[in-house]
Amino acid sequence: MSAQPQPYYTLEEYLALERAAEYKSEYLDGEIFAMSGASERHNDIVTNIVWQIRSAFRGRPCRVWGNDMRVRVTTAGLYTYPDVVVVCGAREFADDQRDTLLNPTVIFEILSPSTEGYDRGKKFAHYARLPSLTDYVLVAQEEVRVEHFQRQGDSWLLTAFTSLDETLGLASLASDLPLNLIYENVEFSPASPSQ
Amino acid sequence: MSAQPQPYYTPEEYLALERAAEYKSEYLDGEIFAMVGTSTQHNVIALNIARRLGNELEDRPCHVYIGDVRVRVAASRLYTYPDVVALCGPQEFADDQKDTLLNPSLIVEVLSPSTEGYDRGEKFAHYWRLPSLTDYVLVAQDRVRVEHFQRQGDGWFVTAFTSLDETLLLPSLGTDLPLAAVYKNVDFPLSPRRSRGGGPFNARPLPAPTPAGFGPRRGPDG
Repeated sequence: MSAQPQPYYTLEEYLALERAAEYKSEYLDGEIFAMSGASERHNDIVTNIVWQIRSAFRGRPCRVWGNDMRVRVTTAGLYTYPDVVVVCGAREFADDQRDTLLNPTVIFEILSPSTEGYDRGKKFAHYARLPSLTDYVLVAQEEVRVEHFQRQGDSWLLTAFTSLDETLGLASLASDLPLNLIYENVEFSPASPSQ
Repeated sequence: MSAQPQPYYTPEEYLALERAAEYKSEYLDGEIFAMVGTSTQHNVIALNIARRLGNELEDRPCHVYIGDVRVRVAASRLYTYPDVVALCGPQEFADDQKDTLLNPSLIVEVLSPSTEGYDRGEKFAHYWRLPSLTDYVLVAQDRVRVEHFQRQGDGWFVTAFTSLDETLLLPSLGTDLPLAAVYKNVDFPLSPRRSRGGGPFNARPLPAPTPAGFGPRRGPDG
């Protein structure tokens, strides 16, 4: 077998493919990455965060979405599906299809070993270029650990929470996320190998 | 072959082994991890940083080490060899052998694809517990990018630098680090777009589009 040439997709090609596809893929700088499924814990944590934020948002012009809202980071050539994305105020979309958000306020990613370097590194470097983004939150699923990057000018203030008694305060959303709700019903002991 | 029981080493066992060993290993909470070699690029960058800091700090009671000085994070039962370590003032060591430093104020790690998640995540979480540590610096080797984590109360102030014109300030050491010095004599790949490791490790790039349009994207029958 000969070596495959590296594929290169334009943004337009990716979007056209993605809108017709039966599964989700992310796009970074010419390359398309099929997304893998998530664990039960990962899904539980996403659901908990969405539910908690959604409850706090009643009657306010804010939206929260889990898993399925595509976000565009224009200058970086990045399209991604954050685990949780929140926007307060006017929502801006790439076009009339309203399936590609441009101005997220807060993004949450649930960490997995295979994507941790990416979520902390290049993906965050791209997200940081979104002027609308005020908070980036990383949530561990192997232990109780939430890391909060809060924008401060050209920099970010990083704090970590490791106790279920603590509460993540999101000033940009005027909302609080107690860790015991983020991790509600999440079991940390390893599952038995097989039944 | 039966499954091997997980070995467990005490810190004392690790240190005894390590001091007699011909190659370096790190230790975390009972486990020993042999260290792999690094690229010449990695080495040039680490050397650039150590040389610059060493020159700047040579007339003051400061210490700069590269690669070979073990750091202990007692709270995490971690022993590790950071790429570059620096501090000003008295050094504290684990014992009389003076080969295991307890109180670095600056740690620099040059990022590699295989260890980036660890350096940014778990390892940093451990370093976080070092009260002496005021500055943690991560340096990319495939492009110009230096990230500076500067301790601020219970958290860290995080700033990224991506231009060779920029300079990272290290007030805790009373010096600075120009990116031009960090990346001196470092050549980057001609086409960063072709470099791997941009996406998540488990992601599968799709095949190239066909010239006629968009290639078949789903179904094994294509």
